Parts: sequence; C-alpha cells; structure tokens
Amino acid sequence: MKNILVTGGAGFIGSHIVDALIDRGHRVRVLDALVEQVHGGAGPQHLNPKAEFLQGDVCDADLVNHALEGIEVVYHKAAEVGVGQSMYEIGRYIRANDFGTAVLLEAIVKRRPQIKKLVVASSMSIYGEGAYACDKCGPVQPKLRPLSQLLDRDWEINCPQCGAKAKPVPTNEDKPLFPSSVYAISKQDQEQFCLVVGRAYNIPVVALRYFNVYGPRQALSNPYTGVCAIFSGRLLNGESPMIFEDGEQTRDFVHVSDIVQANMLALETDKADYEAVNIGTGSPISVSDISLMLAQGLHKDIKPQITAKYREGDIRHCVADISRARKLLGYEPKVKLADGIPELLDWVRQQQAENTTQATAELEQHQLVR
Amino acid sequence: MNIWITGCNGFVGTRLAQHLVANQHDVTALSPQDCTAASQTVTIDLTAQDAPRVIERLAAPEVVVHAYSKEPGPGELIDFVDANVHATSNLIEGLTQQPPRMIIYTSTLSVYGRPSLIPVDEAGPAGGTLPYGATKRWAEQLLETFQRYARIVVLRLPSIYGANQQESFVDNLARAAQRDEPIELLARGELVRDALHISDVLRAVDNCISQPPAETFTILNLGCGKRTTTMEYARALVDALGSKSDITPVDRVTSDFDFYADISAARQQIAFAPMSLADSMKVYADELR
Repeated sequence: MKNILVTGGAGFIGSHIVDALIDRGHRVRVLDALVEQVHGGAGPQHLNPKAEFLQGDVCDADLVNHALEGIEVVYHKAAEVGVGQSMYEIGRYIRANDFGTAVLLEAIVKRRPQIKKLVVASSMSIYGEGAYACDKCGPVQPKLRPLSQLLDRDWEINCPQCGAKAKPVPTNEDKPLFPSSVYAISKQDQEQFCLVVGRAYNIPVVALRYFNVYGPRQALSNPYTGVCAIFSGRLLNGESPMIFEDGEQTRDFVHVSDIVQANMLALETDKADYEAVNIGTGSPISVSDISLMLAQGLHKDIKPQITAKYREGDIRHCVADISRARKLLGYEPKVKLADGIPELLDWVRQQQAENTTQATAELEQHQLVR
Repeated sequence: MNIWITGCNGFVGTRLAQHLVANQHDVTALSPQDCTAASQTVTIDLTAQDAPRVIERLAAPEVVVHAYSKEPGPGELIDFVDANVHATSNLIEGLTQQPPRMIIYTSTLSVYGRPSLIPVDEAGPAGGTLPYGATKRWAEQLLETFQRYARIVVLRLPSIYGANQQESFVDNLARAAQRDEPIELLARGELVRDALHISDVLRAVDNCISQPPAETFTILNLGCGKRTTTMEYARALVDALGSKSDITPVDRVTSDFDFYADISAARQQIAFAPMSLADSMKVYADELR
C-alpha cells in the first residue's frame, strides 16, 4: 500500500486512475481545482469517496506542498486540455500546465527522498503530424501542412523531399516533436520538465503519451475537448457533428480503461522509468467513421457535416506505435472501439450535453477555423 | 514608429530602448519598474495572471521587441518558467485582439545545448537544457503559434558584451584587463566562443524593423560568424584597451564547450554584418573609457 497523490484526480482520466489505485489498496489523495469548464460548477461528481480530497490549484505552492505531505507516488494529471481554446487563452494554458508543473516539481524536489515515482500525463499532440512513409523517399517526418495547401483544400500530407503523397505509418516515441498548438507546447514542456528533473534528482518518472482518450466520465459539459464527447453531445442535441477537412483524417482512439492499465503498470514496474511511452491502440480510424459509429450507437439518423474547413494547428494523421509500451510496461490495449463506444454512449445518454456552437464560434472569431 | 519593449531594465533591453529612442521611435517599456531609457513606461508584471487584460487595454504598437527574460545562471525552475514562458504566453494573449506588425524576440543560442557539429545553423536540433535554454526554446515555440497574427522574428543571441554588462565572459576579461591584472584562460585559451558587442544586436534589430524577413516566422542566429577562441578575444581586448595584462593559457579544463553559430541566414535575410573582432573591441574599449 502506497500513499499516492493524483493531481486532477476528479477529472475524466484522473478519477478512473483514483478508482483503480484504491481498488489496489493504495491510500489516495486528490488535488483538483474543479475547473468550472470541466465540472460545470458542480462538486467532484466522480471522486471516489475513499479518496482524500483537496480542492485547489496546482499553481498554489503552499497547497501543493501540503498535498505532498506523506506522499510516496505522484500522478500528475492536472492540466487544461482544449487544443483550440489554448490558442486564444494562451496565458491560462501556460500557467496551468507549465507553471503548475514547475510548482509541483519544485515541491517534489524539496521532498525528494520521500517521492519514489512520478507518472505524468503527456499527449500525442506533442508530435504534431504523425510519422509517414513515402514510396520513393522512405520514412518522412513532415511538419504541418503549409497554409497554401490547406487553402487549396488539399488535405493529405506531401512528402517534404519529393512532393508525392506520403502514407501515414505508426508513430513511435523517437519521432521529432513539432507541437503545433499552445496546448501541445505546454504538454511537451510538462513532459520534458518531469523527465529532466526526475533524471537530475533520481526520481523515477514515466511520461505516458496518451492518444485520443474516450470513455465514461468524459466531460460533455466541456465543449472544448474530446472529439467523441463533442460529437456525442451534438448528436444528443439532434445536431450534426461538425467535421473539419474531409473527415478522412485518422486518429487512434484509446479507451480510458487502457489508459488506467498503463498508469497502473507504470507504478508496478521500473522498466519504463525515465521514459516517454505512447499509450494508444495502434489502430487508426477516420473521424468520419467515429462520427457514424456514434450516431449509429445513439440510434440517430444524423450524418456528419463535412465542413471542408481546417482548424489552425490540426494534424492529418497520427496513430500510435505501441511497441515501447508493450516492451517496457507489458501494456496491451484490451478495449476495442466496437466495445468501448457502446459503453461511452451509455454514459452519454445520462448526460446533459453542452452546446458546442459557442466553442466553434470562438475559434472562428479568432480566425482559427478557415 | 510606436514600439514596445519588454525587459527594458535588463542590459539588452535598456540598450535597445536607448537606441530606438535616439532613432526617433516612440518607445514604450512594459515593465514592473520605471524604465528611464524608454519614452514612457506602462507598469505591468508580465507574469501576472491579469497581464493579458492590461495589454488589451493599451493602444496597439507597430512592433514589439520582447527582451524580457530570466537570464542564465542560478535560480529556481519556477522563476525561469514564469519569466521565459508564462510572460511570453501572457504577452501574445494580450496582443491577440490588436496584434502588432511584428514581434522581435531576443532568444539565445543556448537553445542548441551542446551541438555535435559547429557552426550550428537554425536547422540544428534545438531543445536546450533546463532551465534556461529549454524555457527560451519553449517561448520561441509559443511565438511560432502567433505567426498568423504577426510576423515573428526570433534572434538567437550569443554572449553579449558592452559597458555595464555584468554577465558575459568578455566583460569578465575586460574587468581584469582594465586593472592590468593577469588573465588566465582555461583550456589553454583554445575554447571557441561566440560573442557580440551589443551594438551589433542593435543594428540587427534596426534591420529587422526596416527590412523584415519575408516569412511570417523566422529564426536567425546572431553571432560573430567566425571560429574565435577565448585567446583571440582576450588579445583583441587587451590590445584595444592598451592593457598591460599578461594572458596565460592554463591546462585546467572547463565545463564550457566549443561553440559558434552559422549566421549565413541572418546575413542573407536581414543583411546582418557583425563588426570584426578588432573593431568590436575598439568600440567596447571606447565605451569603457
């Protein structure tokens, strides 16, 4: 039994991790600010009653220091998570994700003999575009598509060397990072902070790069994040999911229980210490197909609206290469989309979905959708 | 031209403000303290949560020179994040509604860390080491996301020397040389370093304003442009000052490493032409007299 702090432990992913830790007999303390955008001004709805709860901001050094009293393991899950919103609420994202992590790390370093492990939530967004291969040139690692290409509505990635269309391939952890939103930059910073400080002070750190996480407790009240939640919310309200580009962009959707699995393994083994590890499924699915699966599951005859617009900083394809997770953590994704989506939809049906029109309007107002 | 400067109380910021005011620009310092070098000061703590709202209420500038930074050296991680990353995020958020034509950011060659090959060009891997190099790189990345609003020019500066600068290795040499004290150069004086007199930086900023690079986001290395050893810096400085200091190379090693930057992009895109070492040291010696 360990004493464990979970920052952001009242949130979507954090609360599932808290449950799993308590099930395994650990004593858990949660530090969570209960941000209104996520929690809708309500209390911590998913917080395990066996967890000790501290409400507050991870940027509050005194509170963080207090939260670390007696703690041996830290799961750092607190973060602002809206990619589009990060592009105009820039200071807020950097404060929460960069500054907040720095505050936490300084407090951890001061107590370093006591802290035996730090597991930090990173994100596939830090890669920017995923990895690709060109028939002629071999592996390529393109940066974002140029504006002129997007204005021509030419969506697929061109090989940076020969200009031919490149095919997406699984992205491994050695791919150079090209974060393309303020959110992605802040997640990159968080991960590097934790790994560098961990190495410097011999505090084992594992950074888990989550791909597109979905599952129950995903906040439908937050219109700024989570494509499954956003699409489900619109479908519940009788509206078409709005899809940018042509809908053929692919992502790697991973069920929250597999994210929990990876987090538990990161605690149980030391093989992934000081490493960044992809946590996904390795299976791509197009955004259009996800939309259709959600509509079908909700018995809604609503087709997605393909906008043929693009969103600033969006990538075309990114799917995880999970070889490292398999090798170091013994991780194996267990939930297939066909099983995970119905479970998500059971959750969605119990929820009041927020209207996401405002979030899209904000993006358009800031000329982030064109 | 209406120009804002952040970091106006630091060495580079102060000299920039003085220079731009002398060149008839209307220079507003964004600073927690009064900046006498600027035309006026807007009192603001760029790291404060309300900084974007304060910036939004100001009349938009044409150009922002963002020189606010926590300089390399000892310090808490949190302070580097606050000054180098959080302040930058607040600045660009505050400028979103009324962006300037251009932001010039004074970054650092430290973003390259310890490169495997020199001279290093802008395509070289830039991750930097925590806390200073990495947090400056992260600020560059934040500014890159702002290129849809304003042209961004990142100037990666080497060690900068000049009168009243305390931090650079050339200034340390100058203090000894002015007192005719012996100068010991570690690693036999063979260490390759990159340093510029502040006046070269001022000219680079002038050139960015008058003939900005074509791209909306441009990173440019500034530096002396030549493989120059600490022995060469020391000799040029001693000569320029007419100092009687003896220069002694010693075998003792240092954690510093050979470094200089490829400045061909700056030469091409903003007509950057640094002074020769001898000329640079003459200018510096005149300042010190």
